[in-house]
Amino acid sequence: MIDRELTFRRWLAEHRGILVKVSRAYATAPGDEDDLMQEILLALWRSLPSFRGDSKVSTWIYRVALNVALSRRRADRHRRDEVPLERTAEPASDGEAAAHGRLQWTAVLAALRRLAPVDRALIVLALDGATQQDIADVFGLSANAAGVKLHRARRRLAEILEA
Amino acid sequence: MDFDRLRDIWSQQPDPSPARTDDEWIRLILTRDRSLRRRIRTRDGIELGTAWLMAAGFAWMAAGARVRWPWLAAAGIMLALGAVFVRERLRHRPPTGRVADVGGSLAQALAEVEHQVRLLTSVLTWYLLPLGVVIVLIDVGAILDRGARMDPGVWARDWPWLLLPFALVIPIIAGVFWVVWWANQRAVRRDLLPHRAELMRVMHQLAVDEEEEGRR
Repeated sequence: MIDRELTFRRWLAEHRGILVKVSRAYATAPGDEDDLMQEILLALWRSLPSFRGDSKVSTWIYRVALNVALSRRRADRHRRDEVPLERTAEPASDGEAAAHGRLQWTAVLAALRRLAPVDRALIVLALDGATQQDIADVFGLSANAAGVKLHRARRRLAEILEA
Repeated sequence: MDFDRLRDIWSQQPDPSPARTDDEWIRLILTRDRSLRRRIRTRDGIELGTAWLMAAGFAWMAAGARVRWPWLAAAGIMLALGAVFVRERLRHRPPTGRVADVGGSLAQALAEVEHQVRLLTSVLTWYLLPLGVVIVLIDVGAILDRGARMDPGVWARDWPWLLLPFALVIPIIAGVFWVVWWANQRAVRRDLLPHRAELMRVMHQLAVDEEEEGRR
């Protein structure tokens, strides 16, 4: 139990960014981000005893997080993917450049949220530097199939960003 | 905007710890995990305990009754209902072992939702109907027992009045059961079917691209 808790603590410290990004990408309403993060962390805690080290920790965490995000019931179907930009932007307090960076990040997040759930997962993985093989492992696909899917998802994202 | 630029922007995620510290998250998750497990154990215990306690109660009633068969039949149905609860819990324990990939996890989630849909749409046959039969049996048992203990002359004269309270129970129970059935069907329509549709949409998205990939 203590080992499990220590590992969980280490994973949370080292990979919190993954959990937050997935929660932000799949939140369906402003308060939903926290709920989704809780669900993902709970699933991660429960999955921990079955982790045998035969995949990268980050791949495992992505798999658990995306499994939760893609298979959960949306709390409110009608408000899905309608989190307004201004709600996700942090208040500007540290200069114009930082504020501009946050705005750009929020714009990318908004574009991501307009993608279909599977495309969104592919792009989140790719943006975080996951290889084609990592993506294939998370989805249970061949590396080729993962590559084709990623290519299409990138095209759809580009269309959204250009619109 | 090229993808490398997007990657740069994405890597500059604003404050990744907006809500809680690591310690707060860990405390929250461990507490929630314990509380969920306790709630499931309590719910299972109450369901099973109630069914089997009622079976024992009916068996005890049978021992003191002049006409025993309705009570014994009711006890048998409650035992069977308890066995159904146990079977259901054993068959649908949360999966342990290796975490499935996204495709496998979606298939598991879909199977679970479809199972829930089947359970709730058939709640009348596997839950309400047996309980209804039990209530009718108790009613019949009580009537027969009362009749057996009464003077035959009084029974022959007053039986419509003596039966009235027992007869009134049936429509009340039927009303309660209808509300339970309606709530279950509403949950299917409002939650489970839309969730199933969402899961199927996501799975379809995965499958369509794979079919296209297969044709290439």
